[in-house]
Amino acid sequence: MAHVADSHGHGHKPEGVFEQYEDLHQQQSTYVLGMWSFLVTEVMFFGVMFMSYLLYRWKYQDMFYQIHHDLSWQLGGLNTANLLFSSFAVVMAVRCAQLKQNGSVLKWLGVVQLCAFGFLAIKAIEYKAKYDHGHLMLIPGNNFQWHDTAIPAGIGKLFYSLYFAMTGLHGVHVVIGILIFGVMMLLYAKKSHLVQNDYIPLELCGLYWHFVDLVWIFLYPLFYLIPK
Amino acid sequence: MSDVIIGTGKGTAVGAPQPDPNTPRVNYLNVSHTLSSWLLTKDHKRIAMLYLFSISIFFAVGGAAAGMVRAELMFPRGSLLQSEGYNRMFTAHGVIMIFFFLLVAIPAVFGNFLIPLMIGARDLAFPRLNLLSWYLYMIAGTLGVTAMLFGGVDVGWTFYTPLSSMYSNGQVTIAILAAFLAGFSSIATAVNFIATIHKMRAPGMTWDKLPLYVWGHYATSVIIILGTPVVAMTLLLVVLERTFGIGFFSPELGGDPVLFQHMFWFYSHPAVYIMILPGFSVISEIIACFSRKKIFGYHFVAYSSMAIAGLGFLVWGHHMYVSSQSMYQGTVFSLLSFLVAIPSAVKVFNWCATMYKGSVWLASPMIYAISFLGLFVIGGLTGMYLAAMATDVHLTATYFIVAHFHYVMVGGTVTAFMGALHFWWPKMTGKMYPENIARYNALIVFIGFNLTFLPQFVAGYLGMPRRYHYYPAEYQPWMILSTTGSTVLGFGMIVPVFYLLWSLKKGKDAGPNPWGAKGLEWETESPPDPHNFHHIPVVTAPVYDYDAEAEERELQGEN
Amino acid sequence: MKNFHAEHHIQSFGFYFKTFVLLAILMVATIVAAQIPDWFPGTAHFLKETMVGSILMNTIALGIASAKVYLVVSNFMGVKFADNVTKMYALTGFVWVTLMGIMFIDYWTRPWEEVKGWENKAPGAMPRGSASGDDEFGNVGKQQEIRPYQQ
Ligand SMILES: [Cu+2]
Repeated sequence: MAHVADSHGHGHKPEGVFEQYEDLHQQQSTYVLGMWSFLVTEVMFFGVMFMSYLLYRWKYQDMFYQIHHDLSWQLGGLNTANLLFSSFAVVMAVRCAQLKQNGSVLKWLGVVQLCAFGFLAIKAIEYKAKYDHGHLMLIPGNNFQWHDTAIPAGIGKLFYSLYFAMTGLHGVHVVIGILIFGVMMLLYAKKSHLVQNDYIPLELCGLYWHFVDLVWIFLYPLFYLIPK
Repeated sequence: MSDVIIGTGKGTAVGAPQPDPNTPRVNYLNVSHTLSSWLLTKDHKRIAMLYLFSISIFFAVGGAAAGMVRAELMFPRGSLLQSEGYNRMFTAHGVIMIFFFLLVAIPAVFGNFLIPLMIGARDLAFPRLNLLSWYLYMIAGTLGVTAMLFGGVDVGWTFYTPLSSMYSNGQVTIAILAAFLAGFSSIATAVNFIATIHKMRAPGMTWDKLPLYVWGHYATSVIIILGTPVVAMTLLLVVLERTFGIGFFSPELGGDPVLFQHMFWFYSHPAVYIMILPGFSVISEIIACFSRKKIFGYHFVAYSSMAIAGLGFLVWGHHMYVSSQSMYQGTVFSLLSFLVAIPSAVKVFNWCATMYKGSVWLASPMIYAISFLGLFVIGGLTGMYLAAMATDVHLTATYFIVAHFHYVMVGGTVTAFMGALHFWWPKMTGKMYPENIARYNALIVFIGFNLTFLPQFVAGYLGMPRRYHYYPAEYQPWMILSTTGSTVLGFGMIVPVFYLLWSLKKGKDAGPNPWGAKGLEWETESPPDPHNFHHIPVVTAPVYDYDAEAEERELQGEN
Repeated sequence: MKNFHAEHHIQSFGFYFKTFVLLAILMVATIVAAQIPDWFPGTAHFLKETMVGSILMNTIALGIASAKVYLVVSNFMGVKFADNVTKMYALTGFVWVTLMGIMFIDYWTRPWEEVKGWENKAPGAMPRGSASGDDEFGNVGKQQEIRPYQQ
């Protein structure tokens, strides 16, 4: 029975390993798998909107094509480049975390934050243009006004419903990304033990951010570059 | 990896000496007593108990709503409620029972409690996420009950558009937000289970040695992460349409209402399996234990769970035969719906084959398990009537449907839940309940259930529509039978509350393994240590290592 | 467990940078492809007005998007170096979301059934059978051709 006395002792574990895990490897791989199964959820979550989009695009293809000219592919392209670069910055931050270069992690995360805020700023410009579209209101709702006599108002509204719902949900994800990277920057700035022994928290935030990027990679051609 | 080897074979190797009665052994229940030690706990066993407490409350609320519905239907012209009140009552019953009881009950209570014990882990992979899921569930439940109390919802649990998005004037938005949060609560649980089952198994616990209980919960978790976000998003779109006029589903706004049904049933058919697969997994454990035999066709039962998880996503259209879905699509869905019966039948046949030539012990969990078999077979086979397009056109939206899914949901899931409660109660609390009362109560539940829902098959076949409370007088006998049965069923649900609570105070000590069952969870003490195992076990014995013949010889010798 | 150490091999700056450059090139490619009908008016008719051109353009746009997604998932998200379970889950979501597409069979085959009396004139309703009417959603043309059935 000598074993029983020390049976709850987990002193032999390295720092940063939670008590339910055997070692750091088990903990890290479990966290990565958990994050991926959450991302599966996110894919399905956005999938509903993409399927609705496909349905209505298929039904009203010509009209969607004409309406999309109202969106600026230049601004959308700028945002695509922006997000792609931020993804690159995230992997660099994770790489620096693996190499335990605290300062560089903070620099790269700063770049990510800049990109994210830039993304939101450009998005705001685009939304503003729709809010005030030659004295017309293109945001769906009771004040929605439509101008184009060639295209039925219902279809215009449907297009903008999809546009605002999808980019809006994506925007919410960007805001959440800004928040979690803010927390990460704080932890790295304070050299918190949560991130000193283990780069996985940052890696998980990175996975999330790449997913946000993936959504945009599809949103961009589907809304801004619709081929007929 | 671990210090000491514990075989799982002989069911005796408990790592600690039997406790001295004067100094109670530390277990997860008595390790601390403050309220915050419960509300901030990260112990999966305590979270399971929190869930048990809260789902019982919601079950009681949903049951009360069901009682009102049944009382109303005693008379063809109504008795208690106005039409609007009736609509709100059956919606309350459906929403609470599905979102806050059936989808959550077995995974969140018994899954949380048992999965780490069964695979030999100290806890689930993400204990804080687990606690968060309980809080999400509680917020969702509170919102849901709030919606029912302040105005109610009259759209049915299915939230069909455009009724829900344009016309209904109840608290649809709040109810939908409640369902949304409940969805994220179960996603958190599912992510936890998946990571735990993949990565936290004890050395030697290969997939071939995994109890079928764990297999079933793995399949359930996969369905949850693939399906639940779909309905969450769909319901969110209904809220957007309702509050901001962003039109996806309302024809007035340019959308297609049938799109909502596609999206909704893409989740809600698999949701049926979220409710029933954990029930299956409970039944596998109980039948193996009380027949003293290894489950017949272990691999078939395990893989059929995965097959159900996969095929379940391909059949949603059978809810939409009369909803302007094209009949060509309906044909495809009809065929696939027949296919999904195969894995369920595989399970039922294997359970029967397990009992055959087993050493069957009719303890109360086994009585629940056997009644599960009968009731689920009826529920499943009547599902075949509804999968066939031609008969479905006649039977859809009648009481036949109501009876069918209650046979699956109540006869299946609730019976399995009661079985699980009786099977693992000694493990969870360390106390035995009065076994004879429990056995008779299991019979009462069985009789009450059949009396409630068999008449509904007949009424539905004769054409009585569901969700109506004014009905032709010719259906009244069936409705009276059904209401009588529901009283018996309600009684059968209340009695366990009393004897289980009684057992906490006065019950005999159960000991680590009162049923002589195999499996890692029975090798811990009852109630288990806060860290589950004194040493992480190494699994060497095969799964379900029972010996029916030896058991029988022993019984003969005793006589 | 064995695979696990591979996952923790730290990738080089060059690997990540090359991936980023590839992604940028693909982004430019998708923009250029979308502008071709406008920049070269000679191709406009083929690419915009014919079925083949339309399918071609859509395939290019979504193909490039898929290539970008593949690069991000495998290189940036590290799935290339991950264990098999993670690979499986990375794939599952993208595969499963397409199952929702089964519902398009419904929308595709609905017009095959010509159910008399089911003509749906609600604005925006998906045409069913011989749905008719010059409603504000433009459900005209094809549907009107099968009008004789409605007599
Ligand atoms: Cu179904």
